[in-house]
Amino acid sequence: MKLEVVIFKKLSEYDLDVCFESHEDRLGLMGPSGSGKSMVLKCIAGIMTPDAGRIVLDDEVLFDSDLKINISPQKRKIGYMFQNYALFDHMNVYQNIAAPLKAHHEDKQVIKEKVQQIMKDFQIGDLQKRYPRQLSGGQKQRVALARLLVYDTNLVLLDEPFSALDESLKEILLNETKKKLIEYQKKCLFVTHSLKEMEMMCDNKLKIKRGRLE
Amino acid sequence: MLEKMVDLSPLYISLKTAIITIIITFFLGLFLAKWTLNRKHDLTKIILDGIFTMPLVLPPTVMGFFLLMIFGVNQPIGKLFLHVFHYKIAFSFSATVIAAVVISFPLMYRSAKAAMEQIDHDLIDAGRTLGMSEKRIFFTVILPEAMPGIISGGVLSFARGLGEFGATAMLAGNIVGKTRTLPLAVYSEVMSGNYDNAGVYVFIIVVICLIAVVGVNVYQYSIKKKRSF
Repeated sequence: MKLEVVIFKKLSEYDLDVCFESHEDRLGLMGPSGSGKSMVLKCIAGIMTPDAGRIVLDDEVLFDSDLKINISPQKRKIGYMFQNYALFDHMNVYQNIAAPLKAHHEDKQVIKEKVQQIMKDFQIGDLQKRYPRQLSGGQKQRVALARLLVYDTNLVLLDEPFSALDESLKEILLNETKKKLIEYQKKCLFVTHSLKEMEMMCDNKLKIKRGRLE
Repeated sequence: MLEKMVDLSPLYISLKTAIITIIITFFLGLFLAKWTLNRKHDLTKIILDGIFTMPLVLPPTVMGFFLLMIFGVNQPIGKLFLHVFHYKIAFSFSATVIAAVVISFPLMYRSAKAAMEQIDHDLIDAGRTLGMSEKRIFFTVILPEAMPGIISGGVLSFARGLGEFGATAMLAGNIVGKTRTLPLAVYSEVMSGNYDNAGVYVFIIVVICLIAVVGVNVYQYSIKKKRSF
């Protein structure tokens, strides 16, 4: 992976001003809450727009304020796992995992096979008819990860995906997630405020504080 | 039996009005709620919201006055319809629908807007990163997530449309068999001292509104139950 990020964005309390380049498969971004790390992820995903800067992933320019390039999040091929998982409450587990495949207009039979394969892989097959509100925190995290890995992406962004979980569960799911990312050959940018999580998950890390890298 | 005692035409007129009204109000309210939310500037949103809420806070007779100024026979739009389509809007059945749509619209608009505003923004962003188009996000994420609030707005504005009196009296009048709806019939019967007949109309209105409101509560309860333990 080659990720090049230059972001400048005025926020209400401070200015976000970061610049880095990474070749790691699993890069960590660490900082206290409110340091702007989620905003960096959102800018990379395209759901927020920097005031100025440049974002390049594997030689594809996703954003460039000088060249007036701003690829839509739909076309960036970047997955995003939200802190609260952002599962769709009115869809059951099966429908949630099928959602990105449907959005990419995959064939019905292909969708069915892919979803069933990944549910088997994640051992969540017996949850397929359940709705997100009927799942535990750990189950939700697994479903969100399955939904993230089932479709074609070049990079996945993990926004504190373990912070809402019990201590005892954190380590298990973290190892599981890392294993799956390697298995599915996905590169990731992982955001957390925990040094321990960071060291378990990532090859290299960046530290951020009040919108600036240290 | 009932028919011998009281004229049931207000019931038919009211039901016809309320049903046509809710179909128009439902889509109009939903559309303008979404349209307002999509405006870029906060000030635009605030002003639009104020305008769309006016019929709820102004006296219905004031709204009726405005409607007469628009659809009256000697007013621009009323004249246009009269001369081009040979159709008189004021004091016709369509006037009861227009009055009911205008008065019931804010309830639908506000409920739909509140329901859509309450949706966790991460869900919309998640849809985007998962590759869903904005249209797909609206139909498969925003609408279903907001549906309980949208439905309850629909039921409220249905009941409001059924009960519309002031603006209807101004624009549509009180013509038996044509524009006399249930609320106007209650008023007319009381004015002529026929309290028994008025009571029948009152009873009918209460039953319909109660069924509608209880029905929506049952619907919301069942949705809640279906999606949790």
